[in-house]
Amino acid sequence: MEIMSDSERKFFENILREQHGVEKAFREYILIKTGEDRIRATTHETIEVAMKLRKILQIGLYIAKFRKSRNEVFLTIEGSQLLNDQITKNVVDLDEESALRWMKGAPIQLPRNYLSLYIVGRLNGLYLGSARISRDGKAYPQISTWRRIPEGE
Amino acid sequence: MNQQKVYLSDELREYLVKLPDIDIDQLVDVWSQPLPESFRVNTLKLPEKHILERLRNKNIRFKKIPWTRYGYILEENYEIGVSLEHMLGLIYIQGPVSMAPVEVLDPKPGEIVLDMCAAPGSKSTQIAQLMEGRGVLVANDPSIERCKALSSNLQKFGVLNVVVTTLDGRAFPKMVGEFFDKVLVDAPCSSLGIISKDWSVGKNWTLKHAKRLSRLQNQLLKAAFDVLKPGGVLVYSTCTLTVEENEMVVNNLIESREDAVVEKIYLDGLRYREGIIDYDGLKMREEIKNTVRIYPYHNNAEGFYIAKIVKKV
Repeated sequence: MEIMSDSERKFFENILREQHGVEKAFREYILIKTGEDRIRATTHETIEVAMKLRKILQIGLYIAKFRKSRNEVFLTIEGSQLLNDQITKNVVDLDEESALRWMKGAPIQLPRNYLSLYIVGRLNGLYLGSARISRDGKAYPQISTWRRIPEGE
Repeated sequence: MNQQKVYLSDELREYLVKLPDIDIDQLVDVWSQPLPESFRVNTLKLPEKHILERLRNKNIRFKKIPWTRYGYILEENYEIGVSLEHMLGLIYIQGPVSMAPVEVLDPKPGEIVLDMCAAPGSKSTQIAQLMEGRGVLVANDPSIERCKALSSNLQKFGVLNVVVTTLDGRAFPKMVGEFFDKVLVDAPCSSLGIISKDWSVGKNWTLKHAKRLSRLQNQLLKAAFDVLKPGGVLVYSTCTLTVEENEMVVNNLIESREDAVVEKIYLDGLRYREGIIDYDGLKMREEIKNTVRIYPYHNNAEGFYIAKIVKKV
């Protein structure tokens, strides 16, 4: 666990600006790098309390996967919900049925072409995290396995 | 068709008949039935009315639980555990009486709160909700394995201001001193209050095991009290019915800590009886009556014990 440096943060913010038009990404929070390119967000006060504790397993909320070498950021469901309407680019509005497919991790046929490789899903104003757009024009939601609605439901 | 009844070991039956004001037949009846399905809406993600509207649009019928903010009981069977709302963290499935201890703790935005035995996270997420993202929640559980569920639930619920630790609860006083505004000890227990979920508890229960747990509960409660700031509030709860794991633990605390005061508990619409003060030749302090003992048949739900303790300024 390591607090993100200013330069890394700037890089991360730039990608989010480019991908989703976010101007002030998570500015009020401290961002922490953990294993497997995961980024967590928390408050200043939480970090102050954590400094007094031992055997810390984790701090704050997992908000994104940040692959610096590939210039890509995948927002988690909660990361995208935290940014909410700051996300202005590359958003697809889903109906209930597509949202269910999205939460199963199943590919979604997009209604139009997007220039980006990344898209965020939204159901009635509620954000559902990132998907990668494939050459076949489908969005592949990046939902963690534990979070998926089981097939057949 | 005869309904199948839960089997209780002879030792458990003998133990239960010694408890004052308990109706064993009613207890067995309720234990033999599944618990009601209930949930809490997550106001950290969306306003309560928006979430309820979503559920109503799916023809899900539910009614408000009177003793808890944001809690609802399903009025008909619905597989809410695989619903989109559950997977998105808009609702959290939790027993109706299990929501009561955090209501008694009443965490406020800006406070520093410790949930000492936090996994799998039902009460931690409830605490976080009432803190509204301000202040800090320390969610602790010594088991890394159990912390996986805790972490998943905190994530799904969208909790930012949390530190998850895997300490033995008894290690907190040396580490931080009087640090927390509020502490919840939802202690590991012999689980007699939730036999409906697992009938083997009734078959395998022994007093020896309950007494062993009682030793740990005593130590955890003392540690929890010692990390409380003066004026701070501590809630001790278990989902069991034995006096050794409940009243005797709280009585031991107030015998050993002069600045501990047991306060009366008020919960709207929840049926319960007062804590036992006279048991098996042991006289406990009068203020133990301020604690509450909730039998499963009182509310057709889980059995619980709750005590609210304040540290004098």
